[in-house]
Amino acid sequence: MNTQLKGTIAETIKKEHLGLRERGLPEHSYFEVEFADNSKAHEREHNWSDISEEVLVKSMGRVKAVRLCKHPLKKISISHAGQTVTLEVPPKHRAYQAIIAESVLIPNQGTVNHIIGRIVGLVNENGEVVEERSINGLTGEVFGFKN
Amino acid sequence: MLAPDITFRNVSSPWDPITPPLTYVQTVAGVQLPVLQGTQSDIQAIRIYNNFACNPNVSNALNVHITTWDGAGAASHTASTLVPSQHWLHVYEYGYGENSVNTVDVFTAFNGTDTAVGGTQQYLIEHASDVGDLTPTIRAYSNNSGYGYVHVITYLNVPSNAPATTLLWATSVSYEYTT
Repeated sequence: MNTQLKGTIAETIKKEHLGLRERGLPEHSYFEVEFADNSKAHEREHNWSDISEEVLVKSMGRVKAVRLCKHPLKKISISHAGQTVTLEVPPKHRAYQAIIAESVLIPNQGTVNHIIGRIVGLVNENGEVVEERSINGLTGEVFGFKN
Repeated sequence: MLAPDITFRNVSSPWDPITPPLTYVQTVAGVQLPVLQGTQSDIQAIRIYNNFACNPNVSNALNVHITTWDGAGAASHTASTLVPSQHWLHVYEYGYGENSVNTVDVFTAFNGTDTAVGGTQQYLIEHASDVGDLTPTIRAYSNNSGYGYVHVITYLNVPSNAPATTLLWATSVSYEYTT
């Protein structure tokens, strides 16, 4: 059942007809966002690429490429392998999230591709990352920093 | 969008996939020998491609890191054996380009920073596959200017107290992407 209010941000964004698995994701790995108008979007129905743009930001003294949400957010959550991280998005800040994956050249086995975890972060109006959290699905740990 | 399709390939046409293990040797007077203690191996140049198959809807690989781990399975993110724990493998970017699959090879040289890697000590790609983009990104497909790659040099720096034995390890490329 569609519980979104008509005319909300969530209603205006493109819907994805493929499920998480069909897009190569495990069922336990997804993002959820609550927009400024209280409408919500979940990765089961949406792609982050459709609501974000690639932007270069500053993080720990380096340049980092992230995909920032184009719409105003109240909060963003990432879940992976049973762990969930939620960040409130302050005024004048934008959020990014991404899947962390790995391709490994393994002796006598070939190349193995797998998803390791998720990452989420906040960027201030100066284009600086002020908070970042990542879920490592291999160790079950959550890492990150807050400036 | 679909996940990046990252492949390790040879540096010359037709850029065949590399079949592991990557073997490091030391050439002396034209003869390939094992790498001796206290010496460096010959270089192994490899290309890391995103979406060599040129499929649609494949994501760019962002924040690309290279490192070594012990192996597969339970050892996939541990660094207790000699090569990853002592950072024997050195990596630096030597070039980048796009569209080499369908057209004449486009290769631009770039002298990256020689970095000893292993475990959480990783090499972050310094120049993207795209011209003038100083970010760690390998593009997949963007208005037909994708199919990006980075060309990296690797070699082993073996300590003088290393054991005389064959060692195996996993070489990892990690990255971020979005659906």
